Amino acid sequence: MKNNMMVKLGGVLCIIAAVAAGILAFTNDATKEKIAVAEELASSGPEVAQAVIPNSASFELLDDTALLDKIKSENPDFVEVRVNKDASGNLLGYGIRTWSPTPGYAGKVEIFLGVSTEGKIAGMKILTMKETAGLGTKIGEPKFQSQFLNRDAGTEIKLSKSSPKENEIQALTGATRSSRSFTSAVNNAMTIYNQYLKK
Amino acid sequence: MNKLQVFRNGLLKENPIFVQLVGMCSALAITTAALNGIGMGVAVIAVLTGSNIVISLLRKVIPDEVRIPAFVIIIATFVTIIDLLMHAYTFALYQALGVFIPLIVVNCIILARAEAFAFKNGVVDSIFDGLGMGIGFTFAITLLSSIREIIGNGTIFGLRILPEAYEPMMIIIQPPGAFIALGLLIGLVNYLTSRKKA
Repeated sequence: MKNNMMVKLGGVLCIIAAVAAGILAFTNDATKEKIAVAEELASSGPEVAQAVIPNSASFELLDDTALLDKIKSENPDFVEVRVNKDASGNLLGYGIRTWSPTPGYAGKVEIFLGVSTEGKIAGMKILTMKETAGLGTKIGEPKFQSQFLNRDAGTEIKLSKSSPKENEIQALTGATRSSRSFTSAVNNAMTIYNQYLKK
Repeated sequence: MNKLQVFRNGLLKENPIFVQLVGMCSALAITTAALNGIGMGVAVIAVLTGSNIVISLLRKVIPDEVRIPAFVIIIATFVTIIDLLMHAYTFALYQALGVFIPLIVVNCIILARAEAFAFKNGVVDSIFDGLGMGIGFTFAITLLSSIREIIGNGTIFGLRILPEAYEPMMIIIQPPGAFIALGLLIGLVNYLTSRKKA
């Protein structure tokens, strides 16, 4: 009798779990491609290309795998380099994707930094961050990011809490750690540019 | 109990957030922006209605002794489906809600409705219960997140409504602000409902 009960209880659970697994396998299959496309679009779609360097028409991965591997081995936070070109194929600059060496309030921040052919910061885009919503996430807003624009990629950018001097930007009130993390990512991208990409 | 009553119960009289105080985890964590509130609410409505339907259909098949593990499997399946769908079709929202989508599995509202309602009532009633409770939850967290977004950031649904000169009260956006805002809101709701009765 007791054994019977066990078989029945286990059997019912087993059937429910099997049906659930089947449904999940089907859903996973149906959404797999969509998710890959969405991820790709979010990390290197046209919107990102525009934010990194305005007027970009193409945003392809740099086709020098030897160089990419070399940067990766020497700079652990580095992710990839993409080449920004305009509609007629002229080189506009590079999009450098990197994590921030200095973690923010909740882990590292991943950004794309655009450096134009003149060696100036042309744009930027945050790809991943887990900063506090409404507070640390302000590092994603134009008001903060515009401070970096058109700066020379050769000079390290420092953070100031009150009145920023030359080569300094104003940290966000109440989100100093997020600001510091973002700035470290920008500096890391500029270092990569100067070391490997500058012609 | 007629269907309309079942549906209306969840809206205010037995509102999950204001009255039952269940599902607090997500209600406190994601209510920093009004859009997050709506997104989380829609996900919960879908999971709650779905799990209510299936559990109510299977209530004669599932033995009493193993009902809780059975509920958990069913709920987790729905949550994973919603998680995959949101990842595929609403990527920005998926990123904003992050880990709190999978955490709907342990949202007490879902299990509480399975145990207290769907396991004892018919399918149609359970659908109305799921919709009512889900909409009540959505209403409550959207209200809470709107208040927090306005006071803590000066915007609602990302649109600026308070002038630039307004210095946002940061604390309302931060975790302690969730407790303060929720407490005041529950107090207000209780005040209004008790006055109505008197």
